[in-house]
Amino acid sequence: MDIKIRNCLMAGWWVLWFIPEAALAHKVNLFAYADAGKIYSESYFSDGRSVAGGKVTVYDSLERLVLEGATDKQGLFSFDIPKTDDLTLVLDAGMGHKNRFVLGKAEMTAFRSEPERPGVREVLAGIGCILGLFGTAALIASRRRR
Amino acid sequence: MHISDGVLPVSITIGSYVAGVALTAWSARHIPYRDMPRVAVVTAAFFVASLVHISLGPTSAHLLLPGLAGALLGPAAFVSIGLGLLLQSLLFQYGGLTALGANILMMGLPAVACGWFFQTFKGKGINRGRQVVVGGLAGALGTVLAAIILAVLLMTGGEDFFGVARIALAAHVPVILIEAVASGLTIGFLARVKPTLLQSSFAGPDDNTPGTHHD
Repeated sequence: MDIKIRNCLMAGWWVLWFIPEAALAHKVNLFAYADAGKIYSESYFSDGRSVAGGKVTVYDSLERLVLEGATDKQGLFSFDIPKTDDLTLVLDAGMGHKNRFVLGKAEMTAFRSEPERPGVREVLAGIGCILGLFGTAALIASRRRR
Repeated sequence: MHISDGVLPVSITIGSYVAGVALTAWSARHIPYRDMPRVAVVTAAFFVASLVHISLGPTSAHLLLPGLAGALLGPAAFVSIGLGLLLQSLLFQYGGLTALGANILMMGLPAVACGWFFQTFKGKGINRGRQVVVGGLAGALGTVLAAIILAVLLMTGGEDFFGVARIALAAHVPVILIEAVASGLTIGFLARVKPTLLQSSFAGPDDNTPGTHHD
């Protein structure tokens, strides 16, 4: 009997495991970023296919409609930054597939040309490079001296 | 104080590249064997100094250290500066790769001038107080000269010389003061622990450069 119970539990576990997977299989994803005065959005299904002709609506922080448009064949939709505000992009891919993406205003005001601060890795790489080059030069010079 | 890509006219970009790379190569060939560790350490210091941002005054500027590099290395500072700027451009995206030649001249020429200044006025023998003062002045002078060369270079791109020079100098007043103190302290420390390091790279007895006499 023990084995039967265990099998039942296993089966139930597998069913439970797969149900959310099945539901997620047609999740749509929406991603947006701001760059050089424009906002770019990309829409794709969870299997990687792009959402063609999906409806994108943009709302401001007070939930007012700012603009709307449709994704192209690659699932892309871009528009000039309408105003500096926390914008919510809502993608409706049809048949109940919907998702949203919130783009904070900090991302819009960030300067594109502002470089990322160099990290420890870059510093160590540079110092290592300097020491390596001078070490090599010293090696060559010491060979010549002989 | 790094010039970015596309700021200078093409003729100036190419001309400064030729001059900057030629000076770097010339000074690389004349580094005595025994001075290589010293040049390597100064190169590393110059490379890292650009990360030390000083957020005083009107804008955020960072340390440059051409004066100290010149005082410690003399003409060999060109190698330090050329390599340091190349790595800063590649790793930190400070200054454009096409403007590297102009940036080398902007930092290298002040360094060599400061090296001459330091070697000329530091006095004979071990006079530590005088070396500290002259070293500090060299540190300050390096950044002042770099700002002036920056203004000259940007003038070729159509900017007003005095406008740029004034802004660059004003933005670097805290840097100039800090570099003067840092250079003076560094040279004072070296004068105490290893005074031979303060002799000019090229003038001292060297052991693998052809054409210089041994003494």
